[in-house]
Amino acid sequence: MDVGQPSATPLAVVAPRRARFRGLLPWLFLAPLLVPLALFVYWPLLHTFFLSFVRWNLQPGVPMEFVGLANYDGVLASTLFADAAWNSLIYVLAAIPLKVLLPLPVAVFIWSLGTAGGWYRTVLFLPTLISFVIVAVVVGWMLNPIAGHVAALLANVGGGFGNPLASPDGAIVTIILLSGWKVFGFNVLLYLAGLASIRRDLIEAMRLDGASDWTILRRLIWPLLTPTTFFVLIATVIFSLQQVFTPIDILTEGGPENGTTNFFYMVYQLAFRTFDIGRGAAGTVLLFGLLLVITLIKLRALDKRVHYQQ
Amino acid sequence: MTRVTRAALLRRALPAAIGAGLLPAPAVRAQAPIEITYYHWQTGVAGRSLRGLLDAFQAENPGVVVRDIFKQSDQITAEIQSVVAARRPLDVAQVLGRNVLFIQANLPVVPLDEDRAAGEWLGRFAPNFLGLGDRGGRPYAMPHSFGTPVAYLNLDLLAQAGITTPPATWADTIAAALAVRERTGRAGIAHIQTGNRDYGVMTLVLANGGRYLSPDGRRALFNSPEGIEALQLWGDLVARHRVHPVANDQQLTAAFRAGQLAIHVNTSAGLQPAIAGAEGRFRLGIAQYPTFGAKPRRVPSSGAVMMLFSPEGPRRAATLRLFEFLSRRDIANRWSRETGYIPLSAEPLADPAMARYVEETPLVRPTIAQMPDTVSTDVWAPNGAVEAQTEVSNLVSALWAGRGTAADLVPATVARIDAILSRLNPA
Amino acid sequence: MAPAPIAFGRPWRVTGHILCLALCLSVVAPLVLVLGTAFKPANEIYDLTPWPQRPTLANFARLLNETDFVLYLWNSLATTFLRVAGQLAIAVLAAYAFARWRFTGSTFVFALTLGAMMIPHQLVMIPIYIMIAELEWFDTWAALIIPNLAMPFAVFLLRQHMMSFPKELLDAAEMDGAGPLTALWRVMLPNLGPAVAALTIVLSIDCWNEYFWPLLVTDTPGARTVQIGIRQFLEENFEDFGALMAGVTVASVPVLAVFFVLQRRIMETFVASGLKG
Repeated sequence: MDVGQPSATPLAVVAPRRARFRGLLPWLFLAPLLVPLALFVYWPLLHTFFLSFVRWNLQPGVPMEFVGLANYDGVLASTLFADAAWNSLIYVLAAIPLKVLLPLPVAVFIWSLGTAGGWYRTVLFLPTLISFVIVAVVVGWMLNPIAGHVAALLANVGGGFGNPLASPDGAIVTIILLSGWKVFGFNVLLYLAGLASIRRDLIEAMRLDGASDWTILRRLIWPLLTPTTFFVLIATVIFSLQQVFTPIDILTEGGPENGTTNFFYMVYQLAFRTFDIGRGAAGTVLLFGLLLVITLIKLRALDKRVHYQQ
Repeated sequence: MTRVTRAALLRRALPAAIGAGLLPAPAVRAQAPIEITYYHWQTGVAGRSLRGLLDAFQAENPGVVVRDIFKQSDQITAEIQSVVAARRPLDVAQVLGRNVLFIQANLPVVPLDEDRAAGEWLGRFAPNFLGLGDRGGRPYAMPHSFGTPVAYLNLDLLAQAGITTPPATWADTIAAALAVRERTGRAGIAHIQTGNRDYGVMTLVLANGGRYLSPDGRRALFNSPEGIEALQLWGDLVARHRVHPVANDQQLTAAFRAGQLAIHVNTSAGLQPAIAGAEGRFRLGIAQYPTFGAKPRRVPSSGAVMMLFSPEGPRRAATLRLFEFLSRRDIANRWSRETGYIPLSAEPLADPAMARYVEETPLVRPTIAQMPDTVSTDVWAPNGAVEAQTEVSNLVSALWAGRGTAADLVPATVARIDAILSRLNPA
Repeated sequence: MAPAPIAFGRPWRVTGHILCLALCLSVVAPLVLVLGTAFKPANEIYDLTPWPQRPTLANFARLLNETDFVLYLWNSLATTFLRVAGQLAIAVLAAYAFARWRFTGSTFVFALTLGAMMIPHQLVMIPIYIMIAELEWFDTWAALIIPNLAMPFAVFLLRQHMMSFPKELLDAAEMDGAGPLTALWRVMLPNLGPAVAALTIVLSIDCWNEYFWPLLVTDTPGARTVQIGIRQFLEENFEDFGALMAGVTVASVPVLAVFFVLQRRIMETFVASGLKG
């Protein structure tokens, strides 16, 4: 492939064909990753998988009782399950426009400002630095219907202020917006890193060819950003339920009326509020399985549309 | 035998003899110090107070070392569970009242009357704090760090509304809250929620003379006239009288400290922060928990007990001595004075130091006066508590939103709770 | 510094600025509250103006006196540094293997790596805890560092960037006699500056703000980290916003420093005339 050749046609890009490598070398490179992965990630998962089929309180000397699928049934038949599942869907779907799509044009804009964009970049990233616990506490304070800042501001203007956290719909919207606020700058940073790796001479070449900025965006920048976009999409969906855990725990405890709970939070409650090892393990396995299926589907659907080589 | 050998024999025999109980020993004199491991969540002022007490215990028992480990209160039960699973040493732990049944069902707790003198030293506590954790007639828990709900008052706001005497009954309290709302526009009252409103409901129901849960925690008993009336009261405060804001505990506490709330029913353990927050802003008052008309006052305690886990042997003996030490009236009173937890001994004021303290600190008097009316909390069964508590929370939300009366909603909720608990706790 | 790569027309620029300013405002407002409250005396905390009338350092003083803050800071700094270094090294090697070569089992192993991202760590805590107990790693830095060395997130991100890198340059280097490690170190890595910088920042923050796991594996103050120290201090004072904000402010300073040092690297682009190295 001829590098640096100016071209007015879109670059034809496919995933590079790599020769099949025989030999141990790749495995040597992978070993430092695979050892901790096996020991500290997959072994506990297997252990948890095993625990999901027994009724046992983990105490040495106490016999385990094999109960088959009873724990799974306990999770799926729980009165919390329907709401947790439905809300999980909402969290995941809402995360995509807010955390995957919106940061992209913001990143491109900041990139277009060159050095001057540094301020925006820095300020937007600040929420990532602060622990979410504090953010949740501060937001709870700001939204305090009696003594909070929003209430005071609205009172000055003559309006009243109900508590958005008091209604199920208001609460989940608040949590979603809060979680979006927290990771927005981080995703912008990821896109900026992706933009930074685009070779300038290609842009110059297209410009010399008379392409407008919009054409450059559409034909060059967007395709070359797809690896990063792909990454952000996958990571966001995988972590979407976990990312809202802290605000749920601090502000709403899953309520009001199950309005903000999700499957992750539900399993957490089972495992750590009532120490129900069996159901907690079954829930964990179910959650893992669900995320696995979703990610595989996305991988299948999207990997072909990701452009790697420039 | 040479002298040396005989001495060596004696040296080995003596500790064994003490350990076997053949020789009495006021303090353990082992060759290596016995280390007791104590898991708790006391930090800051309370943490220092605890360490002070433990040091005093060590001074009295040379040869015993107490290693205290701090873990956050909402993690500590999971931690204890992990510790036992991993076979790490565990002798004594601070256990939240609501987790007692779970711990008993799942972890190797040891009944306290392994020490034959337990009856005597447990008897030092006021009787209405004992009983939590009893099983098969044997005691498993020693009361340790309790609070009860009291009414914190913003005396300035109340004065502005024309209220100069602290309200005593719920009727008075509602009237005061309404006056505050009408004459100052501020919120009148807020009631403690904790545990997703579970504790709040329990407090109201018990105060009205009703019952909340069955002793084994498997059935909800508040589908009674008293329970329904209590829940309706809370619903009315929000939906009908509109004097109680809808917010979580943290927000309500912040509102009170900011001087925007006239009456805050909260745990007595929050006294010190309340005093600090009110300083320079408003005059703080404390009143006992409101009564339902002429009914006797009844409030649940909330807090933690100490439970014993040591395996048999010198560690268990040493730990039981620690329990005994902490049960002494002067020690328990010192603990109460330094931390703000209620003094749990029978007749705490018989101790002159305590009497002086109460004299000098008028704000603790209502809590002390309320002690004889305090009962143990009800505890949920080991499995299904999350679902059951969510049902309670949803019930309260519905009442606050005015979506029905308690008489309509409570029976269905109780039926659902019973179904959940019986399914997950097969007899 | 090179001029901006592309430029937008006026109306788009204005819209862009308005949007960014609004976002920045939403960020700054709560943070001003945090900072202002940290310096407020106890009886001003619930006043609505975010900044103190009579600023005081009392909250910071209390935090430093009542906790072993300097020790916690040291523990956090050292373990974060070691852990991030380890995570980066491991991730770079693994990502290189995935991006550079096709070999039997590579898809499967990559899927396993991705899969690890889906295992919610809090929920598998107890088996890991039992392992740590058997290894007797409690209260050691090993427990804070080693279980988290495999960071699938990092591997995935680097792999994406590496796959965008022109393969020909690596082939050329290897034909010149460079071994794969040299090719990685000399050719690929210098051009991954932005990605590595972003990743370093992220991994550092992730380690620094970690709370759940250190709480579990440290029992004594000797090994405690900053977040645990703050939460412990606040266990009793959870309503004490002044101390809370002071703690947060102090705890955020080191990560802020890391961010400032590295963030410029993220905007670096290839020099127009060619790639580095």
